[in-house]
Amino acid sequence: MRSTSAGNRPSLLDRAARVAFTFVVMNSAAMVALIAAIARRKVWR
Amino acid sequence: MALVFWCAAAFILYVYAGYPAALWMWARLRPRRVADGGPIGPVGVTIVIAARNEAHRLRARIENLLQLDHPPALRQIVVVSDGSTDDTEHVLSTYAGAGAVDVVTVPAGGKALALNAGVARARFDTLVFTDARQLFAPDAIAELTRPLQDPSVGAVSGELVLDCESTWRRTGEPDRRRAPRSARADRRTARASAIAAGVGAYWVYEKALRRLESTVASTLGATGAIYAMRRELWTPLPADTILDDVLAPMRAVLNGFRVVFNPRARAFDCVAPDAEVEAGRKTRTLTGNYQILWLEPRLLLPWRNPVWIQYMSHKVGRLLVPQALLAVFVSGLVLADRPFYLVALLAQCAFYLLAGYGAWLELGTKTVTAHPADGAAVMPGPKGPGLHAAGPGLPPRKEVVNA
Repeated sequence: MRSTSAGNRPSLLDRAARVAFTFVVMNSAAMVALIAAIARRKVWR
Repeated sequence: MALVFWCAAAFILYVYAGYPAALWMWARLRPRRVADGGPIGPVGVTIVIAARNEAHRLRARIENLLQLDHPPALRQIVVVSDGSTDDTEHVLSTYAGAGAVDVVTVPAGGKALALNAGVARARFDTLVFTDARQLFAPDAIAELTRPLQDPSVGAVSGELVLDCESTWRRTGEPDRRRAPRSARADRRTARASAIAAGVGAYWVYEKALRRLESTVASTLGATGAIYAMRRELWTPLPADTILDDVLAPMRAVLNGFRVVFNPRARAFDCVAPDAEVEAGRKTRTLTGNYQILWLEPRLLLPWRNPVWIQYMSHKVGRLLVPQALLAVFVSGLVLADRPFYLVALLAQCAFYLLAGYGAWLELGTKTVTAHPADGAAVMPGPKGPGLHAAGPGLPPRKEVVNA
């Protein structure tokens, strides 16, 4: 099912999907970081 | 609601495209050169590593440092064992006995306190920071210290080359340091972690930004894997500092010095093997970016921070993008009865479906048994990456790639 071209190189779709997934993971992490920052504020100070 | 949509969309566009484009123009029109006084002799450097339970990596790390093109008389290696409970101190004692390494042992208190303890033992005026995991190119110290000839430069960040960026892979024969990609390497690339591929692309983009920021004024921090700073600019870090490699250089910037990026000073590492590890690392980095705003609120003041525009556009902007993404999506939902906003909403849905497909690719890669060389750092040859130097089965690093 994986769309790869000859020579097992990832297709454009696969590469775009990987970048999109990374973008979502990073932005989700930013939301988690905000919560962590609020929760740990007293610890830092 | 349309105003919310457009403001949020414009903000996202600015952070990821407008700011880099403006920075590129700025760098073209008004580059700020680093004064280069020409070749000089090697300067004395103290290399500081904070390590906790890194026995399995330290031998390779220290051997790498000992083999750098830098006179031993002008090099001090300080390794701080931060409450290690494995064989770290035993490994270090073998090097300490030979006089190659100064060992500092402190109770477990975190990396920041360990670095403070290491710097307190420094004999030289230039500090070089790195981690136990990465490996340096042979000329890394010379390249890292060269920009410090310019008295306006307070710190220098090197380039961390991630395994996933490299087009060179291990071929199996130890003497083929410049060999072309093998069929096996191509197969490994094809099954590489989705997140690793994405992070590789992200890191290339991030380093381009750093290069531009360095050209116009200063980078907004350094790469923890490889950076140098003047010892006189070091101030002890608070105990719970998450991003020492941002806080220490940004303090230099707040004191009127530049922090520049020298891509010729290179360290080598690989990215995390899966999304879970990478997400955790990213969360830690971004939490650190929030923390720095508490530790150094001067960064938010345009009259105190010489790189305020860059800091707000790059660091603070990244922290606010998720909220803007949410605003674009929700406002798009509300406005979906109008054709333009419906198309915009569908485009967002398509993007998130694409990301879902990327997640599926990531799940697929987890089912593949990793090649023993996967996860190993790339050891540079004299002119470029070549052999993998670290062993198989290493647990994921705890260091972070700054956002």
